[in-house]
Amino acid sequence: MFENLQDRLGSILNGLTGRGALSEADVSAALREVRRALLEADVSLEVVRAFTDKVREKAVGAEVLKSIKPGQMVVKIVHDELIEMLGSEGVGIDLHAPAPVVIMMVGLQGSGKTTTTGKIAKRLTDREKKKVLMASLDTRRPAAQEQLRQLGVQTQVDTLPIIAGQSPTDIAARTVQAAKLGGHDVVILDTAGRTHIDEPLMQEMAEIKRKSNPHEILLVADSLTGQDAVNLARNFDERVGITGLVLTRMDGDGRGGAALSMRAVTGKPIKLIGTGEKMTEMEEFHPRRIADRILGMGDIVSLVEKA
Amino acid sequence: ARTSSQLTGQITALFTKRKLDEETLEDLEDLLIQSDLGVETAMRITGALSAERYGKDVTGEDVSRIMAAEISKVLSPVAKPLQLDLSHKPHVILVVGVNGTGKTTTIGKLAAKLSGSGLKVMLAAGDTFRAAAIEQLKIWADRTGSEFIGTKLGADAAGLAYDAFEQARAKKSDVLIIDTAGRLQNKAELMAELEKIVRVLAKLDPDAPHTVLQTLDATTGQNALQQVEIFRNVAGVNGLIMTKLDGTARGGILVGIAAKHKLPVYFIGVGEGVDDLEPFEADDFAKAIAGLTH
Ligand SMILES: Nc1nc2c(ncn2[C@@H]2O[C@H](COP(=O)(O)OP(=O)(O)OP(=O)(O)O)[C@@H](O)[C@H]2O)c(=O)[nH]1
Ligand SMILES: Nc1nc2c(ncn2[C@@H]2O[C@H](COP(=O)(O)OP(=O)(O)OP(=O)(O)O)[C@@H](O)[C@H]2O)c(=O)[nH]1
Ligand SMILES: [Mg+2]
Ligand SMILES: [Mg+2]
Repeated sequence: MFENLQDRLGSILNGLTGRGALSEADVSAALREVRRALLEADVSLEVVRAFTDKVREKAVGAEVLKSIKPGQMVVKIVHDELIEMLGSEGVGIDLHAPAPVVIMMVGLQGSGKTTTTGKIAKRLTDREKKKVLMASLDTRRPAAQEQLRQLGVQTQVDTLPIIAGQSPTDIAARTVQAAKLGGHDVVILDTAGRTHIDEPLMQEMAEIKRKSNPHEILLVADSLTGQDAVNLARNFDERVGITGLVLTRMDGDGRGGAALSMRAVTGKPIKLIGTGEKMTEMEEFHPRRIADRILGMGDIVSLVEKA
Repeated sequence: ARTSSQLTGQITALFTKRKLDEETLEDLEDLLIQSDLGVETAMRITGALSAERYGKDVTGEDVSRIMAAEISKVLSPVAKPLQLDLSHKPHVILVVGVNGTGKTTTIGKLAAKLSGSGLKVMLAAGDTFRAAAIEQLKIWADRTGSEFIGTKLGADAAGLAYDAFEQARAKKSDVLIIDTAGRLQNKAELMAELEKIVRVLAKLDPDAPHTVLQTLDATTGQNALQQVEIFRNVAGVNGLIMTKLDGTARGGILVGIAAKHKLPVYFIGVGEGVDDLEPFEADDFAKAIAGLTH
């Protein structure tokens, strides 16, 4: 993941680090290239703008340009801003709430909600020894509920028995009820995919939230998303107040700009990343490590930090 | 819809009686980038605009119109209706693409169109990997009155494709549509599996699969270019369908794809319902990108 960005940014910034003196024009030229690299990695334009503005502001300060190693200082500024954009520390799923803790999954069609529901359930079961109940509230897509049921069998996690004809909100209520009776620690509600401008479905989503009082609402989004990432993240966040992001298909070709965009516009942490289709293919997200990797220059940064 | 009206507003604001200069061209380029055209394609379009109007007085309306025309010029050659050569019996359609891009749903919609025009259609559940993918396609088959062939989860997809072809022949189906599991184009092993499906079908008829359709998700960014590149090489994609255009994504990546690959774009998906598949209209699509409609 992020290899593409890493290559591009790496070579742009390498061009700077070797230099003994830097002018404002040098910084601007480099930032134009950074801008392009970010856009080509699908970082949303408004996020790119904010990013390059901030870097420029800090980098053209007199102490930076007049310092002994101005290039390295600029690299560190880019690095720090990248971390600012990605969030510095990894944040996991929060289960500090009275049982059953409800986790609600939302997102666009086909983003990976159902698969991620299975993965999270498996992880909480295996690693944290939680008793988990999954339920599909997707009464729309053909065989959506059956899909989750099969994942339950595969992962050996309980799923709510399917009752045909129930509405999503009723299923939500029934799930919480069943979890209380069944002594489950965690409930994961998998919802139907929806576009963020589909008003009835966005309303339904808010209604499900009211009925189930989730402790976590995770927006599951495709890391291959383009410029629309900011719109969708903002809209979902405004309508239900997401508590975190899950980026799927990070096993794709490595641009992943959407990850940066969505974190930046919502301020919500990327809690997990999907790295494959199998139930075990999910990882925690470590922003600092990623920022280091994107720049491919962890060493320079630590050098500057020591100095 | 919202992005477009935003776009229109921005363009109009930029061009109330202004000369077309470097700065405004750059702003225009930004607007195109926000529709996912990508930096290079956006620069090409604004370059064309600049060649025509640089230094002249232009209004927002002018600019939108010229941009739409430039984009349409690229897209028009690929806007073609899907025509099936029915001398192949059955005409075999293989549907491929990255995970979740809308393959199975599009097959359902397509089956409805084909059987609506009186053809005998069979659907084959070639996604033997994803949970309930088989059941999902079965429901679409029932909905559209199509014949259905499937196997067990975990079974060999190429084997199923072969059996489906034989059965469709035996049952004298006009069209056989084969669903496949979603896969990322950078997974060599999964792409090899797709290649095998194509190879196996060709054993029964060297021309099969006769049509290979790839679905692209309109919300996808620059990655879609590579998706087409690789799927085309591996599976011989000869037609595209862009799905999920009912959201706010404009699908601008299609402009670069059209310029590079010149593959026909047959349909666009505009919803999850059986009728939400529309012919691809270059002008409408271009106008939406340039902020002239919605
Ligand atoms: N390669 C890869 N594929 C994934 C990942 N996560 C999900 N998928 C695949 O993406 C496709 C869609 O996943 P689903 O979980 O069905 O998505 P969804 O959001 O529930 O879809 P809808 O319910 O239809 O809106 C499936 O083919 C999954 O196997 C991932 O991290 N990597
Ligand atoms: N809004 C909208 N949703 C769509 C469209 N086409 C498909 N979908 C939805 O997108 C999701 C994924 O569609 P599928 O047909 O399952 O995609 P797929 O490519 O077969 O997915 P995998 O087999 O898991 O790789 C489903 O929820 C569909 O209902 C469309 O044009 N618009
Ligand atoms: Mg689902
Ligand atoms: Mg499918």
